[in-house]
Formats: sequence, structure tokens, C-alpha cells
Amino acid sequence: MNSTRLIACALALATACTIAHAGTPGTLPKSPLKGVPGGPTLAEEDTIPIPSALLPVYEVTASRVSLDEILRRVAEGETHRDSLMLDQSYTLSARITYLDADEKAPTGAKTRVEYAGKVYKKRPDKVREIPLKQRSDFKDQGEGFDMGAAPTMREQIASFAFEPRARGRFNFQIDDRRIVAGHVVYIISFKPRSALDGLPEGRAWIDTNDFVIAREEFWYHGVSPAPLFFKRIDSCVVERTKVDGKWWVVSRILARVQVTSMARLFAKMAKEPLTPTIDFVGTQTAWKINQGIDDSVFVAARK
Amino acid sequence: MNARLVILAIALLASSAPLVQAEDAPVDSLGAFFKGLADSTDASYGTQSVVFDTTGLDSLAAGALSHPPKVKRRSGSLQLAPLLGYHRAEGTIVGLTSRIGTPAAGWVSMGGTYSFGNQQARYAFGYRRTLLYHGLRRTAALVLPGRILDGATRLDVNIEYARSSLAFMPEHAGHRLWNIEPVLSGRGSASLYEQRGITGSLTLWTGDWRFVGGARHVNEDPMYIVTDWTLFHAADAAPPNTLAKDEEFTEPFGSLGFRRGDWELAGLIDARGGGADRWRLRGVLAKALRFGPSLKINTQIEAGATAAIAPRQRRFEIGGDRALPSIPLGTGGTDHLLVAKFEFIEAHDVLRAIGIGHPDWLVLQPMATFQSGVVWDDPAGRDVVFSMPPSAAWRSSAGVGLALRLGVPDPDTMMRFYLGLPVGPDAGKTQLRASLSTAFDLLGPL
Repeated sequence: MNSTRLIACALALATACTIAHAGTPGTLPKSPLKGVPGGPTLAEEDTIPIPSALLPVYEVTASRVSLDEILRRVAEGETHRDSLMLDQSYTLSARITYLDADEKAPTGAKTRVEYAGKVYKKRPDKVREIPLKQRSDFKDQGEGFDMGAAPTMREQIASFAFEPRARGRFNFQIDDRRIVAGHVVYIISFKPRSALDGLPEGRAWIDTNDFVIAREEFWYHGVSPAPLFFKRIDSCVVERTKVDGKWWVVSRILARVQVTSMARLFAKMAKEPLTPTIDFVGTQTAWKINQGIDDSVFVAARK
Repeated sequence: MNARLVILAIALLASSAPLVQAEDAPVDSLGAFFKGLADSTDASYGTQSVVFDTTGLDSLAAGALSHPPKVKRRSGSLQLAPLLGYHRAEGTIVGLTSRIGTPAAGWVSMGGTYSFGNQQARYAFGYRRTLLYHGLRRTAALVLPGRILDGATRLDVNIEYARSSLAFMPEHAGHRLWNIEPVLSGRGSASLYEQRGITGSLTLWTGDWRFVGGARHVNEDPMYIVTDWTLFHAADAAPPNTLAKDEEFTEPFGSLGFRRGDWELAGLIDARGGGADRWRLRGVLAKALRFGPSLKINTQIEAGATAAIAPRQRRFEIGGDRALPSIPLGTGGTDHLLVAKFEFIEAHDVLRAIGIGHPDWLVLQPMATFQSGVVWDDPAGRDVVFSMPPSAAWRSSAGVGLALRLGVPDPDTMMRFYLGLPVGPDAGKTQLRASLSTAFDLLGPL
């Protein structure tokens, strides 16, 4: 092989790689407006030299998007996201771990339940969950650990505080605003308006390109949803990921719950002792959306 | 030379990579931003909780439809629950209840008790099936009786044959079984009557509404006092068990319920037919009001009317902790009722505020109540829904105490311990009360 061929080959490879990467899904979408690039545009200084000594300087102010507007758009963005999904399939895994992590480093961890299933959903209300794996050391296996996937594409675990009906029960605040890779990401915190509601406080990361919740964390520290059984919920994390470059879906949910001495007493009486802490982790992987799932998949579910 | 060119080619390829990265940086950076947050979550939870055993999962998932794995599961298992109670018209009561079924086939419930005092059995056989469901949860939700749920529509059919002991003014009576009050004091329970017969109904929940329609054919009989034993107040004679009118009848019934969680507003209209001598109508309107972040007022207004010559077991009473706590159950027996009830709850933990150490679950919140109501017969003896209550018949109670929020089975389920105090004339006497109910306890589950 001569040197010219090698150089040509190398250049061709480099170019091909560049084009291939540029053409991968996930690059910024083109704006419907001609001449406007996709994604947010930051103002740049005008390159025309202005004789500032001769002309007066005017400070131009423009109203920023208000918090109410962001919340309204998030509700719309979530609804829009849900409405475009016709069918879904994903692999669901769940794991429950008993441990002692009450204000200290975790010790004595023991996995009590591991479950995996394949979930198929189709509008308007079809759902089928096929258990793939199940392992538990509970004495009473009950009716199995079917996670009871709901026949809906809504993901209220992520959007509950932003749902129009719930919004009035929370106070919201913009904690931070970041530009990450052409996306403006707002970090919005929420707190229940009343301490008597038994609601959590938390924060959500909003991708303003789609106005969807990309990540959420919430917790019950000063108040418990069921004081008799839960001392507090240290954290609940809902992570979403983008599939096929356009669908934000829940990819993982984690929760760490501290149980009360009363709950532990009841569990001991039932001969299924509880540890002070319970971790729940669920993942949803291998997402396929709008792939045209056949109705026969759900006919089998009814048999 | 060739070697140099190869190195140059590799260098070119390598140098192209950052260029490509620069082109693709926006997407990768957003992913990396959230990946960084996910990594910190992993670190805080620890590998013992977040690492899954995914061995073989991909191949199982790929063949899920064609070769679904046989995972050992059990469904429709028999669930048994014990029943225990005590009443002056029944004596000691023991029994069992169970439910078996599947979402597709429906649920059969069976329950039976034996009362050692009057040596009688009570039993119920029921069948419930969901004919229509559209909503967030399906399989899990169908096990339990329906409720108003945001975004859910459900239609259930219920058929039941039962021989039961029912309380007079059941809306104020509280639970007959697992109720400690009749054990503590003879004054702490409503009078009972026996009902035997068949009931069929359809219930539709849609949006914020619940519609019930049905019919029953039953036979009702009085019950008599069989024991006067109580743990306290043993020296006092147990109050007599109010006698029901013996009758057999067929009646239609229906109700319209509304609950909107974000407005904290609910309402109910409950109607029973049975002709001009038996009709009964009752309505409740409930609203929670908030004053600042830590004070809430639950307001409830209840009104009722029944036929002027309705039998005693259909008439209205005003006593008990759900209505006027300083007045004993059984007070009234009239054809009209009007009650207004206000409950104030403050958010702070009383024991912590006064520096008393306590178990983590014992969060007691201060509460106060004020109730005012009237029961009356239409002065002209008319058979009407609307009648002006006599102003002299109004009675009032107040209460101060502590509330323990349990959060189960409903998020607003509370145990209340308080002192019911009479306000004004003819309002009974001071009574220590304990009750377990939701914020809108005059409504019942919707």
C-alpha cells in the first residue's frame, strides 16, 4: 500500500466518522423557523462597532418566563408526551433490600425480593405483564410480585406535583437554571403548602426543550405519609432517560424508607422481621415505543 | 515511510475524534449531566441495593411472548380475617370473614359470627364483579372495593344475601365489630336491629363522581338487651336497646357522591324508597379550609328527612362522636335532622413541643371541635323534605383533645382522643371520646 492511499484512506475514515456521528439520532432538532438553529439561542454581541460615546445606551428588558408559565408548560409537556405514545414495551426489574441505614452507613443488607418482567402496553387501556424471574425469601409468597403495571402511558410517579390538580397543594421555587448541551434545564423545588397534607417535598429537573421532567427527587423528612408505619422516607429518586431521541421515560426508581418501631413490632409478630430500613429499586429498560404491538399480545393476557 | 504514514493516519483518525465529539457534544453532555446525578444516587444507595442480577434476562425478555417462563405464582388465595366484638344486645361476638376470587371471575365474600349472648348467628354471602374498568391500576385495584380515583372509571355489580345486626342511625354509629367502646361502657354503642334479606346494586365511579343504584328485599326485626356487663360503669344499668319495628319490605335505593381531592370538597345524597311511609333522604356537604401552613378546619353539614310515619330504625338521631359527642347515641328518633360540624387540627407535634420523649410513630396533634345540631319532627306532622327546625331544639357540643394521624387505610385516617363538652342547655354531659375515622366522617367511603 502506498502512502497516498493510506492518507486518502485515513481522511475518508475520519470524514465518514464525522458524518456518521453528526447524523446520529439525538442531535438537536431543526427548528421549524427558517434560519433558526435548533435548541436555545444565546444572544451574541453585535459585531458592528457602535460609537458608544456618541449614542445613548439603552437597557432593554424583557420579561422572563414566569414560574407559573413553566409549571403550565410542564403540565402541557407531560400531557403531550403521554398523548403521542401509542404502545410501549419494556423490561421491568425490581429489588427490595432490607438493611440498617438509619442515619448511618448501610449495614446488614439482605435482598428479600428480586423480580423481572416484560411489560406490553397499548392504547387505550391494554396491558400485559409477563413475569420472567422471581426470587424471594418471604415465607408468604402471596400472589407473586406482579408489579401491577398500569394500562397507561402516564408516569405520575414523576409528575405528581406538577399535575394540574395537585399543583395548588405545593409551593414551587426555581432553585437553579443551567444550560447543558443546548438544553436549558430548570431545577424546580416544591414543598407542600400545608404540613397537614402528608405530602413530600422535593425537586425536579425540567428539560425546557420538551418541557418534561427529566429527573425528580422527593422525600418525607418532617412528615410521614403513614406515621404508624413509616418513620420517614429519606429519598425517592425518579430517573428518566430519552429513548429514540424523543421519548422521555422512567428508567429507574429508587426509594429508601425508614420504618417505625411499631411496624417492626407488627412484622415480628407476623414472623417476618423488618430491618430499620428498606430500599426499593426498580428499573425499566429495553424500551420500545410505538413499534406497533399486535392486539393478539393482549388477548393472551385475558385468558 | 509506511510506518510513519500509518502513524499519521492513526493520528488523523484520533484527531478527528474530538472534532466529532465537538459536533455531538450537546447530546452527550446532557446525558452525562444526568448520568453524573445517577452516579451520585448509586453512591448514596450503595451497590447492595442498586446492582441487579441480570443473568439470562435478555434472552428471557426476548422470548417472553413466544416462550413465557413458568414463574410459580398463586392467585385467588383464600384470605381469612377474624371478627371480634361485644354488644349488650348480643354479648360476646366471634367470627371469621374471607374473600376469594380473581379480577376476571369476581370476588366471593363470606363472613359469619356467633353471638354468645343471644345465641344467634349472623352471616353474609356476597359476590362482587367489576364489569368495566378504565384507569391507572387494574389488577391490583380490583381486589378492593371501588373508590373515586382521578382518571378512573369503574362499574361494579354487587349481590349479597345477609342476616345482619344493623345499628340505628348507622351514619353516626361507628363500627359494630372491633369496637372497644361497648366493652368499656354500656353507653358507648348504638342500638341494634336484625335485618335479613337480599340486596343487589350497581355502582359506577367515574371522574369525581359515584353513582349507586339498587334494590333490596329484607325482613327487619327488633333485638333485645341480653347482658349489662361492661368494664366500667358496671353499676349503671345498660341503656335499653331501642326496638325496631318488625316489617318485611322491598325498596329501591340510590346515592350520588362527589369528591374532589384538590378542592377538598365532597358531597353525598343518599336516598331510600319504599313508599310514602318509608322513604328516607340524607345529604352531607364537606369542605376542608386551610389557614396558613399548619391549621386546617374540616367543615361538614348534614341534613336528613324521612317519612312522618317512618319506622324507628329509619329515623334520625343526633348523639355520638360523629355528631354531637356530649350527647349519647340513641338521642332523637325524629323525621328531620340538621347538624353542622367543625373540626380544627393543628400540625405541630404536642409531645415534642412540650419536650416529652415519645416513640417515633406517636405524633399527637392538637385538635378542637364544635358541633351544633337539631333533630325534630315536622310540627304539623307533614310528610315533607323541607321543614323549619324549631330554634329551641338546637343543641351544641365542643371538644378539645389530640389526634394521631394513622395514614392507613386512607391518608387522612385519624385516631382522635378528646373531651366532648356540652355547650348550652340540654346538650348532655362531658364525655371522654375516642374515635377512629377519616376527616369527613359523616360521608363514609366514596
